[in-house]
Amino acid sequence: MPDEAAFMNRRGFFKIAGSFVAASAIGGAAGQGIAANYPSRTFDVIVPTREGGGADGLSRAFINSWKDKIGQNFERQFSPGAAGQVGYELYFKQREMDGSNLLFGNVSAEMIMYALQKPDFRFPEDIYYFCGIDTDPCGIWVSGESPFTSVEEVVETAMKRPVSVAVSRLPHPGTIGLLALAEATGAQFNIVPYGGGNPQVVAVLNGEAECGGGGTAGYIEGARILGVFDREEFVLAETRGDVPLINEVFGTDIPSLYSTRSWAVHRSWADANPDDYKVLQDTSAAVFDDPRFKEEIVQSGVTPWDGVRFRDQSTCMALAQSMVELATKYGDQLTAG
Amino acid sequence: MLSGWENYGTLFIASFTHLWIIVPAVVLGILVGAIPGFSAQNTLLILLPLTLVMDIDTSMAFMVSVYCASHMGAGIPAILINMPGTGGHAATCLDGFAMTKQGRSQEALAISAFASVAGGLFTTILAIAFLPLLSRMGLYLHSVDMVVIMVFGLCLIAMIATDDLVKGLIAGFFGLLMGVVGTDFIYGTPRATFGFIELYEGVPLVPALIGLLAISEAMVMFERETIALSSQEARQKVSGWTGTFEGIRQCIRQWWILAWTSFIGLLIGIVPGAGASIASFVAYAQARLFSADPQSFGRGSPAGLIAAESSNNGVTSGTLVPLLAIGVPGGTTAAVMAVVLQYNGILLGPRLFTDRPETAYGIFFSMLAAYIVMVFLVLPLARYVGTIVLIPTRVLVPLILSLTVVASLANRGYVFDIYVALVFGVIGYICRRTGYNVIAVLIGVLLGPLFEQYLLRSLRLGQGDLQILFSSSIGNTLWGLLALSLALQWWKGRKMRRVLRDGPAAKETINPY
Repeated sequence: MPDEAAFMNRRGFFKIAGSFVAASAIGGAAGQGIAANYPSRTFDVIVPTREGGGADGLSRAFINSWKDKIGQNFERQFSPGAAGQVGYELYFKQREMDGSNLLFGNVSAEMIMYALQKPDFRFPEDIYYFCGIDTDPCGIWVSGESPFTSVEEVVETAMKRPVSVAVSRLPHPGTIGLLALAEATGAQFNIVPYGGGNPQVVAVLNGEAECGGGGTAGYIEGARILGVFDREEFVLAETRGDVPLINEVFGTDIPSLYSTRSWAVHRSWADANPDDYKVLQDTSAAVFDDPRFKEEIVQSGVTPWDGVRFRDQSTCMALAQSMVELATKYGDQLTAG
Repeated sequence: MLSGWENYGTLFIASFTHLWIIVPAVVLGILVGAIPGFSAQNTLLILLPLTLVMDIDTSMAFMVSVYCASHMGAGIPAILINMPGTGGHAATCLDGFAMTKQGRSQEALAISAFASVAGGLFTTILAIAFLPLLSRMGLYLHSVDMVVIMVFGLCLIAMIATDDLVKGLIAGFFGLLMGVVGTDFIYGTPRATFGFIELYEGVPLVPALIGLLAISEAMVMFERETIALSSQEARQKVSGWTGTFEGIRQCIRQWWILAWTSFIGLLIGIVPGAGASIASFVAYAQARLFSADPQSFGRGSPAGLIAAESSNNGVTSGTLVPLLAIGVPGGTTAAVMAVVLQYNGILLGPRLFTDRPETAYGIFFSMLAAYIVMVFLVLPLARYVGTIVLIPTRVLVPLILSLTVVASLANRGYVFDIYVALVFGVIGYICRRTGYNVIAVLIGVLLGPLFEQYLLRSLRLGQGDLQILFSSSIGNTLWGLLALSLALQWWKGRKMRRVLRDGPAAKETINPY
């Protein structure tokens, strides 16, 4: 009996081991099948700004539609600091390049940060911006009680004495617009960064700064937009009214300057997994046709709907590249040295 | 705009129809406030999906209740274990924990609860009555004026370091130096970060506070049997309701400090970005300045605790004013509320008061209701929560140290922040053992970045000309008041020294901080 039992045990062992190997093989194949069925897990998103701001509201509205189209949920982590550098460094240093880690950033402002601070990641080698969502044209605006009634008056005054202009932060396309305008007209702008949109608005409303420079999408009751840095049109004309184009007023050739919030992913993963990357691109582009997305944007008022427009990878990457070049050009005025 | 007492009365009564949500919200707020590192902001963000689907008035009642209650809850660990969960509660530790060490934890908790509620109620009523005026006041204050307000706070370093001015100032400047770490406010260039991206936003405040106060205190606690210096005496003081009644009596007796400091909180809260950190220290300095017994501050003075707690709750009313009046949130929690309001299609700004006065004023009436609920929920707890002082330190210290780990991690989720807390714990311990003033370091760390921000902005506006600092009439008035305060402080100190020199019983001269 002991021998038989031992024999049976050996047979039993081989049976069990065989079954286990077979099960593992089947399970493995199944597992590979799941992995190929991208996306296989919840997306982790780094947002390099604070909660409660425009990026928060915009990404929330977008995700609410996108999650149904792509079949996975999204978890956002807000990592603000150093004009977005904290979030980007975290994304490139501490997140796996597996297509499940995304970044939701402000292409223009953060590429200026990239050009000025020279962080550890490389553009365009390390990142693809693949879905731009909104357009926030940069311009010059004043409070309702300001003595300035036109952008000509602002520049005329600035040619005689420095005019103080509040900006949310120096590395911003709005600042570049002001520097370019000053260069072209000889105007003197005393550009003061306020470390965020809210204190900037307060500074303009309370008269501490004579003008505000930067995004024009955020609605401020009583404020007047005097001019925008755009070569072709003011995209928010429907909601914000007609505003002169600064290039037309002064005959300058300043590039169109605007902020665009965009989704981004590790480039190495996208290049190695073109089919999966296409899933990301196609499903994100489809969100713009979803009436629920429009409804949520309109209801929340996070940005005017006429500023919401899809920008594909090539447009986003071109915008990013142009921002890097402009920031490099005005680098001395945007940094301490 | 609302007009007539009938309308106010109707809204006040209507706010109590939300009692079903206010009560659980207050309980939740106290709980998250009492866990260091958590905050109303984090909680409201987690619960955002819930608040977005609620009816807007219910949702706002819920959010303001959590917000107010969390401010009160955060005072509990600050008083009991010297662990401030937010920058705004660092000043609470100064006298709150000193009272706990004297076995007066129940009294301290009652003062905290009563001063929070009374300060909150007073400033909420002020906000309702003078909302249009207050919203304009927020716009009157410019960066140069804020520089003077910051100097008011920083002067506290010199005030509390009177026992050893040199060491106190060294400690204060060390704190200011720590506050410089991070990216600069103008160009965004990293300074003294040593490549750690976790330091780009500056030294993380909560871990630094926890390290300086709680961890260093826990190290010192090991040398005692219980937190209270005399466990027998403490046992007598925490039993019964005597401490609670004494706390309430102290608040009523010093009602003018309560009113004045909560008003300071309201005014500073109106200025976007200023917040409770500066308000509580400015209020504390003011209470000390006008006190007949300034030497008792830091040694368990009820007035010091009243100032810190009432100003904190004054800030809560203040931060909502710019949000509703001009659409600019006064703080991060107000920013979350803005998301919910906008999601419901409510246009923030002056038109809110004409288009939807019931929502605009209803928020403040809900706040009023929340404070009334808090009186009945929190005051009775003081007796039971206060018994923590009787727990032996061999049990309590490991618990405190575990809590510091959680608290350090909770705010940003970086493991790095645990190390920051430990480093600051060692710095705090060395300071305590060598006679350097821990609170002076803390004030430097806390107010240094804010001071630098407003100063650099002002200098940038003045294109480097220092005269900009004296270019505003409000600022100049504040400079004058500051000079008067310092002169008064010097005169009182001189008088006190004379009394001590001539009198037979000299007061204890050991640095209380």
